[in-house]
Amino acid sequence: MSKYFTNIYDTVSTLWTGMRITWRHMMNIKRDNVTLQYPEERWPRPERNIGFEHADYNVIRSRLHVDIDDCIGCLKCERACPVDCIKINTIKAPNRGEDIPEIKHTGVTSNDTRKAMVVSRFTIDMSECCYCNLCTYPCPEECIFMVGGPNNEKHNIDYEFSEFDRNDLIYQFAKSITSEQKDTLKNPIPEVEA
Amino acid sequence: MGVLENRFKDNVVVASLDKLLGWARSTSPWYFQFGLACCAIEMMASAASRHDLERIGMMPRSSPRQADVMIVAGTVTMKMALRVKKLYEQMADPKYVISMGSCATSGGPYWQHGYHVLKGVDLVVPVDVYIPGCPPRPESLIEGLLKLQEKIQTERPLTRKSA
Repeated sequence: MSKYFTNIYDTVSTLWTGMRITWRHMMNIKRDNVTLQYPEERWPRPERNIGFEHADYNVIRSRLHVDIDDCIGCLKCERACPVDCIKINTIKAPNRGEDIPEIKHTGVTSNDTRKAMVVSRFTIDMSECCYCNLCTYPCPEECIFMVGGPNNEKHNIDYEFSEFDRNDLIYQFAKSITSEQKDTLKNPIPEVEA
Repeated sequence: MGVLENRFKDNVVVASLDKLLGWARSTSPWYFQFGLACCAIEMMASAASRHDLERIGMMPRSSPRQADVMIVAGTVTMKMALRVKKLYEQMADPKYVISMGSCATSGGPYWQHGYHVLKGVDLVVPVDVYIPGCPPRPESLIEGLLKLQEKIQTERPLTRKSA
């Protein structure tokens, strides 16, 4: 007989304990709700840099971007890349530091370096990239960087860039040069002496 | 393909049925729990309560026969590629594949010297959405899944394709 009433007491008391917790969470739904409604809201950008002392450098693992007008074709990022996903071809410029308007080549970078090379191909395969940021450190012109972070004024952070086609993940940064223009760059027409 | 696929000419009834089917398929793509490497951690994180995947109607299934979407999360080794193919064939139509991360898309860091890694899972199964990242953040995965939902919604499964 006592077991019968003990069972009733256990039922009511455990139900009360459980429902009290449920009620408390329901009342504090703002505080206890952890879900991020992703397409509307997203994580804030981290403010500190992790691991490196340079405040200018970005540690956010997002898409790489190249300001091709500042690139001098020194191939330092290509050599630094541990997975070889950066591929650069260069042609020697006929006159160092001079603009070539036919292929939209600018002779001088924004750091006043005179360019000796014309970059004819600059591709980054973002599907092979491991987002290690190692290519940004050796760049003497600071023209390759991960978007977002300290470059936030220039480019918003961008880590969502999924594609339906795998070839769309290969990013082309160099300006398009036809093969005839390449040939004229390689064999410049000699000036006829009077 | 199923019994009804590509059987009918385009008309008013079939067009609205197509839309209904697309809506129904796109709002509940159950995915196959299929973690191969470190990307699986991010897939688990996006299924957890912070980035709740059940908000967009996705829940993990442990059997390929109950799943609609296969998220290939991680490095596909040569030994695993046979299993990936077999599991894909066991899924019921309509089935979709998401290649998550660098390794599944193109071999990733192993694309050059990895003697044991398949150079892209699209060599064995047809891939719908490629998600870059190493590993991708949960936000990237959710963005890819939303893109896949849009793709499913624009499909016209009943209408016969004109040649």
